[in-house]
Amino acid sequence: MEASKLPGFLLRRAVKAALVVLAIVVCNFLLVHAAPGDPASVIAGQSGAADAVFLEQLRKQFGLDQPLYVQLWIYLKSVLSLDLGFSHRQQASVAQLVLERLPATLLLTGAAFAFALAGGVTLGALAAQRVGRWADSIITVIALTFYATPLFWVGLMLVLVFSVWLEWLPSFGMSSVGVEMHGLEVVWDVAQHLLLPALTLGLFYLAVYARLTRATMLEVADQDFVKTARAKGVPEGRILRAHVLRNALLPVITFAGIQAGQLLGGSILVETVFAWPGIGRLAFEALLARDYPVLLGVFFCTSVMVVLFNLLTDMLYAIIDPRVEVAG
Amino acid sequence: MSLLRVEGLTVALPPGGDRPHAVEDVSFHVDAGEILCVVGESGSGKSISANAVMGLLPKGLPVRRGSITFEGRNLLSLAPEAMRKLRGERLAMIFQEPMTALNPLMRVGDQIAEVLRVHGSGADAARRVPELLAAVNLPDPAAIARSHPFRLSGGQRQRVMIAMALALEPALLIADEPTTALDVTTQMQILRLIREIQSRRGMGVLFITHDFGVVAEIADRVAVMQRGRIVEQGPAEELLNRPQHPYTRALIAAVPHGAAEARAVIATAPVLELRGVEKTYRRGGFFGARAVVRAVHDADFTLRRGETLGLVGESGSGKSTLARCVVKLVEPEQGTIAYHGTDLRPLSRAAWKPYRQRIQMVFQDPYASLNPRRTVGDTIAEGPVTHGEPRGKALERARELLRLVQLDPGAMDRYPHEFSGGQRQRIGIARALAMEPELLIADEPVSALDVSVQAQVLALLAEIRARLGLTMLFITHDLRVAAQICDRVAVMQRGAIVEQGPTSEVFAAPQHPYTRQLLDSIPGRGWTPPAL
Repeated sequence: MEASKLPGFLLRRAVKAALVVLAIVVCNFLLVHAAPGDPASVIAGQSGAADAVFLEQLRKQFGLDQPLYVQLWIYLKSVLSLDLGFSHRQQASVAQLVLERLPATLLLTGAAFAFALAGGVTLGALAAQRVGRWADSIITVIALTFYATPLFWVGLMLVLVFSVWLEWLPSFGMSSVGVEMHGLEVVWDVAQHLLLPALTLGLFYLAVYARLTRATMLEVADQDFVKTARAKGVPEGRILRAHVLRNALLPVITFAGIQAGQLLGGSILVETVFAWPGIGRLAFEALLARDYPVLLGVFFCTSVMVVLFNLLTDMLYAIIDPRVEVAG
Repeated sequence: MSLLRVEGLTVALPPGGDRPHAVEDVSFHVDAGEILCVVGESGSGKSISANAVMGLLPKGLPVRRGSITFEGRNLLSLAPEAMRKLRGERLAMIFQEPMTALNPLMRVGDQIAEVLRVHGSGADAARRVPELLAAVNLPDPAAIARSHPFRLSGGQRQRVMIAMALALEPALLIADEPTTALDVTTQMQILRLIREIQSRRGMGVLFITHDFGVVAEIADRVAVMQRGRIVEQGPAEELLNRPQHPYTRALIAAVPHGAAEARAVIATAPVLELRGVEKTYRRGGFFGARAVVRAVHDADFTLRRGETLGLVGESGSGKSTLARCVVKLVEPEQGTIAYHGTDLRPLSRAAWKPYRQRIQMVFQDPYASLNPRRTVGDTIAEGPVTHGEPRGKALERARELLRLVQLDPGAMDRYPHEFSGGQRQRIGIARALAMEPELLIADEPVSALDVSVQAQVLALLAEIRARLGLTMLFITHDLRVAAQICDRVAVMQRGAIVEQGPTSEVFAAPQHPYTRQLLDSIPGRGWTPPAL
């Protein structure tokens, strides 16, 4: 892509992305309200005094007695003014709750993403290079194992091995409780806590990338331009890096874009298993409590992320593959 | 001493092939400053021989016997690293498909610089790359060097390939069908370029081709291959005009000679009349930049009953689009497509259906145009059954049609992959004929076929046409083929018909400069195949 086209492209895409997010916001709202039960019934149930008058009062207080389209309109207006609402259960603004939890989740998913991508592409390239030999078989078996094993089980096993038996790594939380630390100590502490959940979250995608890289590299290796490179007398190592791998990465990038969008949502399970104080657990707790504003806030945040990552993938693709014309 | 001497080369095929060896006991030599053409049909082993010289044979094809001596060294006993150093430096190769032979993600200049770099002369790259691009007559070398391959046309890419191959001034250039995928005018330019560079530098060239026209254009000596063996070799002039071996004689006899004999003028009632048909492709819009391509415009023609009209042009000239407009595979925006006086263009899909039966199409690619999961019988009978014929009767007719296209009726229950390209094209013709059409549209029906098979299919088409009184619109890029089969030709360039008339007149006295250019680009024009 020529650099001069970039600003126009970004502008067009930003307009489209805003429209998409708006549509998602409406869908989210309708979906959440389609589920049975509402915050009032949950609060009433927990307080133990569930008579109809109290329920009605609660509903009035939260605005739940209004017709759905009025509630939607009110919600849309506040989202457009970047006000995500107020959680009555937690007595805090939703934006504040989400922003508190977001860094933890971004750290976890970012680490898992980087690990999966780097590890997967490396393993896939190694397997493709040694196709049909024992190294290829071993990598394939490992990849298939992680591909087929459920996330939570991998998580629990990692905890069992590294925390319980070996006592090398902490099993839950994001940092050690009740210890005073400074500077690099904090980083080291968080890194130790991060390792197991990031591995758990990343292993599945590592397997996917390894398989994908291996398959596309073998496909690309058969293409004419690889033969041209060989006829030019290019050494095998360079053929692999400069010609095969680079072309094989295109589908991997497409897939990585999809994964990057999904990681935020997909971390709910892992955050629960490892008690990671992230946005996934926030959503889970909000769901159990029918805390609509928080739930919608999390949804909003994740959908913005998905749209953002898609945009990023498209741009990256256009930079790597000159044939791709970035179209609005 | 010869630059390259191949002796007794035998390369095995994997077990289960149609023969034990891909090439067997092949011997030839190339001297410095000469062009040896290796000619043969697909599967004759000519590319395998070339790849063996380059040390680029796939693992499944081991060299069993023989020697390849290049500049006094036996290439077959060289270590892989020594062989790699020779490739690109002393031995260079260009390939058939310029569209796929360059790395799509790498700038053209970088790909050329890579040859220099991996052979230790990377320091010169900045100066040498534009020089090399200029040497293959590419305009604005600096801009081309910065481009990615997809910005260049097929001819330009092939020039880049040649520049890359010549970067280190190799002693031997191996060219594996380098012009087969190109248009005739581009082909002629590339052939001249190879000729010119070869004589300027005194290189030896091993040139692989299936086209005797190209041989006549470029070869000093010729070797003819059939089923893995060289059946005849000798000086070009000798072999082209006085071929000895029966196979060479058969091949040369099958070459369309390009001379159009005068035919009787056909003055029957018009079957198809196109007036003012226009098709314009628009891309982008709304947000993006707009691109407009006028695929067809100013392309009026009349096709009379029993006549064969050739639509001739290079790729992108709009000849296929025009043909597809007739059968509504493409919908033109304007004009009339009158079939026996009825304008077909505004008709709905349903209103079109009765005409589908009367107008049938034969496609170019015999590999892609047949459904691999259906038996041949079902494929042929499908059309009539859709139009309400009882299945039994349609299958019976399919059997007859297979006989008509000279295939065994036992082919009915077999699948397309069991047939060769030529046989598949016969099946495609039988499928079209099953509808008992009046008008047959043949879109490059022989361009994917070997020359001997091509001659058979053309003969079959001519015979069927005479027997069934078919009217035919015949699309081709090959003027020699058009000369052989068409009563009249219409020459297309950039979406418009620039000249049309009786074939013999157009060939003898072309009016439009583009027609003249096309005729001058027919390879081997100076050679008249001997009457055999």
